[in-house]
This record gives sequence, structure tokens and C-alpha cells, in this order.
Amino acid sequence: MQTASLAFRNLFRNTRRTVLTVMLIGFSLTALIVFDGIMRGMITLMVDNITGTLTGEAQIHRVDYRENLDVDLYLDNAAQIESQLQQDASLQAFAPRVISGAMISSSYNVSAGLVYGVDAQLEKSISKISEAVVEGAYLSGEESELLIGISMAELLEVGLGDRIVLTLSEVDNGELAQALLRVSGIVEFGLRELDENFAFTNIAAARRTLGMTDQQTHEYALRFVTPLSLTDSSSALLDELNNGEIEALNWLELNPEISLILEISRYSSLMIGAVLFLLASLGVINSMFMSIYERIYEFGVIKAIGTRPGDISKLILFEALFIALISCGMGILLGAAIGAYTSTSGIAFGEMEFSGISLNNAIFSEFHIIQFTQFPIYVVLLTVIAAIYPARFAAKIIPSDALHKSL
Amino acid sequence: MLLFKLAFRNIFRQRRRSLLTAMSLIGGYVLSVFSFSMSEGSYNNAITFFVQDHTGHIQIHKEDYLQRPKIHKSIPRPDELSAILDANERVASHTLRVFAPSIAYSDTDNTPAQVIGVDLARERATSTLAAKISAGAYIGPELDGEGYYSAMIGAGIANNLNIGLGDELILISQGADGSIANDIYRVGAIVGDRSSADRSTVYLPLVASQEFLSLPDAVHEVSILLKDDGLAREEAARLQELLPEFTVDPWQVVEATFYQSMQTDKQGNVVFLGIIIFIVFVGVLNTVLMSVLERTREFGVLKAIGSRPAKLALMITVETIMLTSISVLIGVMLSAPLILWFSLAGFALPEPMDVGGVLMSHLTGELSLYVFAVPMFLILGFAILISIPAGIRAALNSPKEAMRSH
Repeated sequence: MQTASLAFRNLFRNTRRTVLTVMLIGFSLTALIVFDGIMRGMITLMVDNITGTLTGEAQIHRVDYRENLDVDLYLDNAAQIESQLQQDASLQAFAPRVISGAMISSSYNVSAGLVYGVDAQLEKSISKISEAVVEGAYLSGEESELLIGISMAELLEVGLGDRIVLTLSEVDNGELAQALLRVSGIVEFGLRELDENFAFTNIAAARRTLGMTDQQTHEYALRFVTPLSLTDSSSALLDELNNGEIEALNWLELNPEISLILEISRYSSLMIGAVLFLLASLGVINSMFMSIYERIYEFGVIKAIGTRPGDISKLILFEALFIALISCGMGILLGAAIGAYTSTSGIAFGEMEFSGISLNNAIFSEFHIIQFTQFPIYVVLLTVIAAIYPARFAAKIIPSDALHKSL
Repeated sequence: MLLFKLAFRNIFRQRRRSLLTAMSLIGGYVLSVFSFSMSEGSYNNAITFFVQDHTGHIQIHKEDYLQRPKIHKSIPRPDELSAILDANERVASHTLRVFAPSIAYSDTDNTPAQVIGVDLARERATSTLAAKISAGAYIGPELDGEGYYSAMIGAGIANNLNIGLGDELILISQGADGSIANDIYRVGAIVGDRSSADRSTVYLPLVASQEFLSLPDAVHEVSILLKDDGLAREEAARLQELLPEFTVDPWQVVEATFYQSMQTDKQGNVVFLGIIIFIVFVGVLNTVLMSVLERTREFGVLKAIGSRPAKLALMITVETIMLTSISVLIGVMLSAPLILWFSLAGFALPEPMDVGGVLMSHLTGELSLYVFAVPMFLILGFAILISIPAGIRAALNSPKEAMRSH
């Protein structure tokens, strides 16, 4: 106990040095907390972008369908799949879709795009289409309705009520089919790919144009009661659905490049943490040595009067421990303050687009309990470990050498 | 000179401290260079890829064709433009292109296809199209025995239509005059594989595409490759003045989404490096201040025997800069082999990553002066900055007080 209080007092003999060392360690911890918070915020934004916009949390297709979006590879037992989906308690909602590439032409221009036939009601609980409508109205189920992306509307030079002709090929026989629709709404997702290339119509109209029966569907998008998260993306339902014919995949499997981005960000967090603490440890060692050199005479004296080397080591380690604790206090406070600010007002990063996911919204950093538990514990441990070397040095001081004092 | 000698010796008075400080400086420097090199290298790699793949350094269009492509926004009499570009010594090569969305048919199937008509000889010299051919051979611009032009089709189309080399391909689109365009072509080559960006593209000889779309003697795009890839913007501005009737854009504008993403990402990197270096320098400030405090008595003596305060301050600055320079030098020696290895080998990402519409498949380092110099100046700048308070402290030292301290 006496060693501890001695160590604590020693810190304030050279307050400036202690403050600088505390700043060094504290800022490292702050940087780590803030960085982790931003990373978490970015990942949440990405995940929301994927699962919230159009994809949903999981999708069901015919095997091989995704490779080319071949219209002939449809699921042809809608009733059976839907009843299975309805009975499953883990599922919150699902929506069927028929999808086809099409030539989309107005009186002025023509563009290639993807046409989604969607169920207006069911789709509301899966995707953001209804919220993305910026002009006109969402689908109501009426015959000739069509929603198109805002960039496509600009390209085709059309507005509400204008005529659009879809040219596509029927399933199975490949016959060319055309449908005349009117623009009933314009959607803006803020994602380039969707705004440029996508059009949405009612599933019944799309099926009729494509020559599909109401039992034939290209895709089911699913939403679960408990969201499939990064860490737990498994689902008994998906496992059950998968067979040689049908492929049921969660959003991580549907977007393999996302797992890569997550991997990279996790890896970079780890690397940054390691580097920060390497630097901080060097600072700690340096600062401890300085304080030992300054007191070398003192150590010589207390050793000469019988203090054990172990006690001297303990003293230095206690000093390091206190520095670490004070640093953590400062780091946590500062980290929490910056985190609180960035989590409410966000950080505008300018425009970025990775893997078709645009991050043009501000990123709101996120708190996580480990930022305030695990991180500080690592900091304390590392600081004390870093102090072992100077502590051993202090323990080995030879009084007769130490008492020779130079200028 | 004496000042430098003194400063140099002072560094070695406390070897352990100098060494520890140097280590954190070296660590900070190597990390900065590494992350700088990786981001520069990977992005430059991606830029080189799309510039050579299709974008070129500069593109010329009519009006806002780039943002809102329409068939009639075409560049008339491209030969005149070609003559100007061929005479420009900064231009390595250029190619002429025509674009149209269409539907491609075989006997049984159909699929949407992007038709690109290219000046075959010029395209070969400008883009990597010829190298992307996975089956068949680069086509010629002439009609075959049955009066068909040849076409090079993306692997996705070949797969969707179940056709191969020598088979017939029917294209339907809308002509510039509003008529329905349709014609039959002979598949002469397959381009790329089913995951390539141009899997749904049909490449036609320029003349064939012009006939197909009723667009005689006109093109939609001129893509230019420069000899010096750093001058895209300057040269684009120069060409724009020369060709006021067209729109001339450097790749930074053509691939604007990618460019913005890259700039943002790079800015983020700089901020991050700034933080790392800041933390390093909190440690360095600590050391420098300590070394000044330790020598309070010494400075008092120096001042008493007539040293100027400015000289003392300068000595502290020189000491700090020297230590920093030595550290940076060692940092360069340590990081050079690392960077060299990454610039030669790089590593492939398990899945290519799409950045603003550009696929990045490799992380590669860049070995250039820039990569080493920027962190170096950043660190030296910080070193000078923190030596100021320490220097002032040494300069303000009062001999009387100083010699009383122990």
C-alpha cells in the first residue's frame, strides 16, 4: 500500500512529463475508440444500404439464376414456397418478384434496364421502393403503372404520365413482347445503379408481359423477425429451402464483396490498434526511463539503505499502472465526447461508392461496450507490460554507481 | 558548424532515449509510407486498368453525351478530328466509337446487348480489346463471302444465346433516323469471360455500326491515350480550346464517381496518418522537453559564458531535426524493400471490389519519390513545430536560476 501511494505521488513530481505521457496513451485510446466507432457506423450504413434498399436480408432463386438473370430460370411452384414461407415463424415478411432485362424506350430516347415486377403491398415491408418515390405515387396495383429511377427519367426525358414502351422477351419461347406503360412515379434511392437502371411495375402486369403464370416467380426477398446480422447470418429456413433446384442465400452470400470489405475493415482496425499501442508503449518506456534517470541518485540511496530490488520494480510498475489508469480516464472521456458528437451530427465524408454502395450520407459513429471495457483493459495491460523493462533496469541500479553524480 | 557537431553529439548523450524516440519515429514513418504506397499503388493500378481497358485519358463527345447519351448527339466527320489528333505529338493514339443499346438474337434466344462500333485498327492501338479475346481472332472491317460483317461478342451473350464462333447473330435497335435497325452479323471472336464487364457487349467494325444505326460518317466518342498519363487534365483543357464545338473531358470527369470515391478515401487516409503522426509527436515532444529540462544547468552555464539565447534555441531545433532525419533515413531503408515487394507482387483480393463503378482486383504498392517524400515532409514539419516550445524554454533560461538547480 505504501508503494502504491509513493508511486502515485511520484507522478506529480514532474507533472508536465506525466501529462505528456498521459496524453500520449490517452490520445491513442481516444483514436482507437473513435476509429472503431466510425468503422461500426460505416458498416451499419453499408448493411442498411444493402438489406434495407432492395435486396432484403435473404433471397430465393432458381439455382444459376443469379449468374445471368436468365428469365427462363424461374421458380414455378409459388404456392408451395409461399405457404412454406408463411408458416415459418422466424420470417417477418417476404415479397415475390419477376425480373427481366428490357429495352425501355420513351418517345425521345431508349435505354437498357432491369424491370422488376413487384407486389405493391408485400414489397412495402421488404424494400424502400415506396419511400424512394420523389414524384408521383407508389404502385397501387393498377394495370399500366411504372416507377422509374430518377436518372433514367432524365435520360429518357420523361415525366409523370408519359408513355414508356418496354421491349422484352417472353419466358421459355423467347418471343419478343412489348408493353405500353405510363410513368406513374419517379424513384430516387441515391444509389447510382438503381437510379439509372431500374424500373418497377406491378407483378401481375410483368407476368402477363413475360408470359408467366401466377405460379412463376424469379425471386423472393425475405425479411426476418430477428435481422440476419453480420455475426449471425444463419437461418434454419434458408437451410431447409436450399436444394438442387432452389437456392436460398442470405445477404452476405449474395454480396460476397461486402464480406471482403468487412474483413478489410476488421483487419485495419486491428493493425491500427497494434501500431497505436506500439507507439504508445515506446513512449511509456521512454518516459519511465527519463523519470528513473532523474531519480537515479534517489534509487541509489534507497537501495543503499536496504530497499529490495523487487520493491523498486513494484514502485515503477505501480507508477505505470497509475499513468495507464489516468490515461484511460482521459481517453474514455475524450473518446466518449467525440463519439457522442459524431454519433449525433455524423461525419460528412464526401462522396464515396464502394461495391455499388454509396456512402454519400454522413456516417454516424457508433458506441459499443467493448470500446469502454476491452480497449481500456488492453491499454492498462500494455502500459504495465511496457514498464517491465524500465522497472527491471531500476531494480538493477548499483548504489555505488548511482551515487556518483555528474553535472 | 560547431552547432551541428554539438547537436549531433547531444543526441548520443542519452542513447537509450534517442533510440526509443527514433524507434517511434521510424515506426510512424514506415506505417505512413506503407499505407500511402498501398493506396496510391492500388488506385493507380485501377486507373491504368480502366484507362487502357476503355476510358482512355481523354474523351471527346458531342454536347452532354457522356451524361445523357442519345444517338443523335454524334461527332460529324470524325476524320477531320482524327487528323488533328494524329498531328498532336502529345497524343499516343486515339480511337473512334459508336454506341447503341440493342437486343441480340440467335435462332432461339434473345438478350439485351450494348453495341459498340469501333475503328478496328485504332482501337487495337488504344485499348486492350484485342488482348481480351478469349476465342477466335480480332476481326477485320470487311464483309465476308455472304455479305455479313463480323462481330466480337461478350461471353455473356454467347452463353445466353448459345452461339459460338462462325454463328449468325441478329441485332435489333433503333436507328438515328427513328427507323428500326436490324442486321445479321457473323461471330468472329468471343471477348472475355462471363464475369467480364463487357460480357453483354457486341463489338462491330465502325463502318458496320454506322450503317446499322443509319449514322453515316459520325461517331459518339473519341477516346484518346496520351503519352504522359499525368497530363490528362491539362491536355483536355488544351483540346477543349481547340475544339469548342465538342465536349472534351479528362478521365477524372469521365469516371467521376470513381474519382470522387478515390479522393475521399485518400483524404481519409491523410487524416488518419495525421493522427498517427500527432500521437508519435506527443511522445517526441516529451523527449525533447525532457532533454531540455535535464540540461537546465548546462544551458545556464552556456548562457553565463555568453551564448546567445537564439543559438540555444537553434541548437534544440537542430537536435530535433537531426534525430528526426536519422529516423526517417532508417525508415526509408526499412520501408523500401517492403514497398518494392508490394509494388512487384501486390496481392489479389479474394473478390474484386467495385469502387465507383471501377473494379479493383489487386492491392499493389507504389514505389515513387512521392510516396516517400510526403510522410517525410509531414514528419519533419511536425519536428520543427515541436522543437519551438522546447527551444524557447532553453532560450529563456536564466543563468542564475539555472545554476542553482541541480
